[in-house]
Amino acid sequence: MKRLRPNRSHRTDLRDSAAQRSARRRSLALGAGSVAAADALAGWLVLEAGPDAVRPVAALGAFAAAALIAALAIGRPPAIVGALVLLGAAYAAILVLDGPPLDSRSAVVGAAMLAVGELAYLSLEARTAVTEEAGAVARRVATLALLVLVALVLGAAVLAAVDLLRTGGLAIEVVGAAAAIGAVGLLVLAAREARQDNG
Amino acid sequence: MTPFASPRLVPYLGLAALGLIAALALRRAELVVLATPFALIVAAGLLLEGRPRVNAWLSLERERALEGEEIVALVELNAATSIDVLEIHLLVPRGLTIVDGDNPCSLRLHADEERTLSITLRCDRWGSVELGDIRMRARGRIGMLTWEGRIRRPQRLQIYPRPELLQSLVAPLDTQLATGDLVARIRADGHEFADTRVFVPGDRLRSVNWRASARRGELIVNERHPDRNADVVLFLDSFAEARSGDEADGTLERAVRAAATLAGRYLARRDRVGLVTFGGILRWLEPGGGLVQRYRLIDALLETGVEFSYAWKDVNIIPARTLPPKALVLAVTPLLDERSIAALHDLRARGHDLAIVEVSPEEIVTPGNGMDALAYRLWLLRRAALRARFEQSGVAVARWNDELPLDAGLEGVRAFRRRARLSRR
Repeated sequence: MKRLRPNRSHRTDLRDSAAQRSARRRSLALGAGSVAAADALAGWLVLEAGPDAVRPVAALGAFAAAALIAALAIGRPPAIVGALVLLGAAYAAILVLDGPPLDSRSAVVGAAMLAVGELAYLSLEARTAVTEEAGAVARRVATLALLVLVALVLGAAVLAAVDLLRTGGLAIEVVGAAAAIGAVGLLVLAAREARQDNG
Repeated sequence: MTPFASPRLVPYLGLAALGLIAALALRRAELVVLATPFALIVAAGLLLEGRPRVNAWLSLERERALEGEEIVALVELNAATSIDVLEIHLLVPRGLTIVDGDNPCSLRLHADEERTLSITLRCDRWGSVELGDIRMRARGRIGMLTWEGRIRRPQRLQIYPRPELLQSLVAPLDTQLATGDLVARIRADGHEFADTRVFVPGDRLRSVNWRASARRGELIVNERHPDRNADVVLFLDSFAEARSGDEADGTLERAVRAAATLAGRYLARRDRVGLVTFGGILRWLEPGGGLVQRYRLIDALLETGVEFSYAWKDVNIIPARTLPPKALVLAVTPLLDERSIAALHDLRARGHDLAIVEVSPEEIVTPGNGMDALAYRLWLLRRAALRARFEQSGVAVARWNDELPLDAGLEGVRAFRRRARLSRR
């Protein structure tokens, strides 16, 4: 004799199925966005790659896209990391095989990889039985857009700093002079405060 | 609330570390730029987002409800800090179904914001249930850490069994001494005419039947039946129950519903009603009357459940005061457990006025094919023989299943008791 299953009203079932459909749609849209971003990044890298790097970059990009689709299909977060590693490897192949001096595309690639990863994780998180407030997904996507923008700016700043350190020139002389003047100013300030304390 | 790492935290840290190591190995600064966003998001998530502070309270619309009724539960939330995503889940015990409102649900709370969630619950099954276990999960805008917590605000809800359709009751063979709605068999002062007899000194003058006296030429007085009450003991068998796999009620649910209905109707007739729950755990309530006794009975019935037990139990363990002399013992049982069947035979052998309402499990069991069908037929024959044995000892057995109203089931008992009385005469 079996135990009673918890009763579920017809209204509850209808509402649950509607919520599930909505969650599935959200997850599908975010997953599609993630795959599209990954494909776009891989395609762009293939277009940007030199003749030596085209084949490995294309292969790595294809594997990355396949890994991402598999991760989203089976709902396994570790496979997302694999896809991101493969995308990074595709870009690294360009750097190694083509050997550009200092590639300014790296900031875009980094921001795009972040977008791919975040959209994929959001897609997996959207597969939940929790009913979300209206506009919750839009808010998260807006936050993601802001993060990608910040990542882009920060990447560009890092690149600029690397370029500055690498090339030297007038700019680095100016920065050095400013630092020296600042250090002297600090010393003068410290000496003045010490004299006032003694007096 | 307890912090837990998001599933992104470790992979992103790994990616950042891998990018930096690759940058060192390949001597390419671009790979540092590749690792920067992942390091940035982890650092921002850990440094900028603090522990969320939120409190929750639960209130129920009322503390008592009938089976089938809907009640509203309000979950009040008060956030001391801003929370980007707060998932709330009120655990709903068995016997309640969510009819309206989202549970679990996710919402956003600003600092010092108060929010009230309304959840409409339907009471599906009688019982005493406790609500108030609220699970929460919060995370910030970046969400590198999730904070999980549990708040307990216990609220007890008594779900009373819905009454069964019942128009007339089983009358006991004997009445008690207190005044009630039953016409006693004895002759004394009362309203109901019983017979006439010759006047004897001490008879009251107003009892004289003047017409009969004129015809007979001597003083004749009327005799009357007094209005008395009765003692009824409901004997609820909770040793075993039959239950189908689907969402239909089991025999225990129906038995408790029947017992609650009978108790209410007998108490309304000013009878004294007691209860013996005979099962793995023995519960009893001495006969009493009035509204307080009604609530006592229903509260005792709500605690009834099938508790598994190997121990052999008989009527000797029932306190004697619970089964007063001349009380009608009305057993509500599926007749599945040997211990309760033996106890009922024992009660009859001790001279108690016994009637049985069999909450039939036969409709719940689905006969299979081949040997299963044969076993099912044998089981039905054994049950028929059991009923016949009870009837031979003068105990009426009424079969009651889901398709019949309780009144139709009790009609069998009333008819048997009328026949048995005639045959005794």
